[in-house]
Amino acid sequence: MKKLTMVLAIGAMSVLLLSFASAQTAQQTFNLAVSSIYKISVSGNPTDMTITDAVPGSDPTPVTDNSTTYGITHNDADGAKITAGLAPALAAGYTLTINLDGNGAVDISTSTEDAVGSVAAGASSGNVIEYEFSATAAAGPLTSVSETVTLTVVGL
Amino acid sequence: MKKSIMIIALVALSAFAFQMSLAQAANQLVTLEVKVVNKINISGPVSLMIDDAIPGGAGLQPVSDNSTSYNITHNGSAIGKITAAVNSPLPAGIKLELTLASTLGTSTGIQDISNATTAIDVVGGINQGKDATQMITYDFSATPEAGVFASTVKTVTLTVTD
Repeated sequence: MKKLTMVLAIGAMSVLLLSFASAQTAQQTFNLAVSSIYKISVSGNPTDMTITDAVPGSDPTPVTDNSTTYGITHNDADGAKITAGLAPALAAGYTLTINLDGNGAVDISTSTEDAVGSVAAGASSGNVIEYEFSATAAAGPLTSVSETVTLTVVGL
Repeated sequence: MKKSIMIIALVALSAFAFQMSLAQAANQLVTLEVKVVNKINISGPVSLMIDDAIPGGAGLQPVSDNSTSYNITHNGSAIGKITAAVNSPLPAGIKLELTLASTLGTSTGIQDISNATTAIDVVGGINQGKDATQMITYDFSATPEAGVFASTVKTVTLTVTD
């Protein structure tokens, strides 16, 4: 009887051990992060802007260009802004304004200005860049000059 | 020691990456130019007719007209000028004089353009700038000896140059 009891006990323990061996887990810890991302790009350079005409009695007729676009991506929940600056600065009597996607013309002739005050987090492309170049008659002619316009996306 | 150097390096890298992520820029090249622009126009035509005489046998009554004006835009040299020319000379005894007002330059005063098929200066020393609604005055006179002068269309050309 004792022998039979021992055999049964060993059998039960074996079944229990088999049951434990049929499942096993492992755990891994992940560190996830998305950094603040601010990206802006332009499609290329605008066509040359040359003033050649005037209505008599008025300053020379301004010229415009809207042949280029910009794309922007940022993920700042607080929003971002786009600034525009020109280098080198223009002499008195010459004015360059920039209008980013209809947000209003901003004079960047001599200083960096906010061109778009608030951009919500997201991505967009094909946003029109419009330039207007004007000059007073008193400023006289201007020999062709290359200027660098810098668009910067900055977190608010 | 090695561990602390690595931690400092990681912190420095993180700070750099954070700085980099705060703003990003894109550049565009813009080419700008202003050509020499000299433009002038006139407000309209003028009609002048002598149909009276000065009492007391003093000749025919001259007529004048200052109903028209000119506009000018000039960004060339600082010493531009306006010249005037008539397309064909008037007969002897018929006289047409022209005076242009100017705030941008200096008027040369009354100029006889009766035979000015070659342009003559009517405004000098024009600075770079614009001038609007500047008066044009014509004085038209004739001697009795010149006789009747049938209605004739004449063209006066004003030119702005550097």
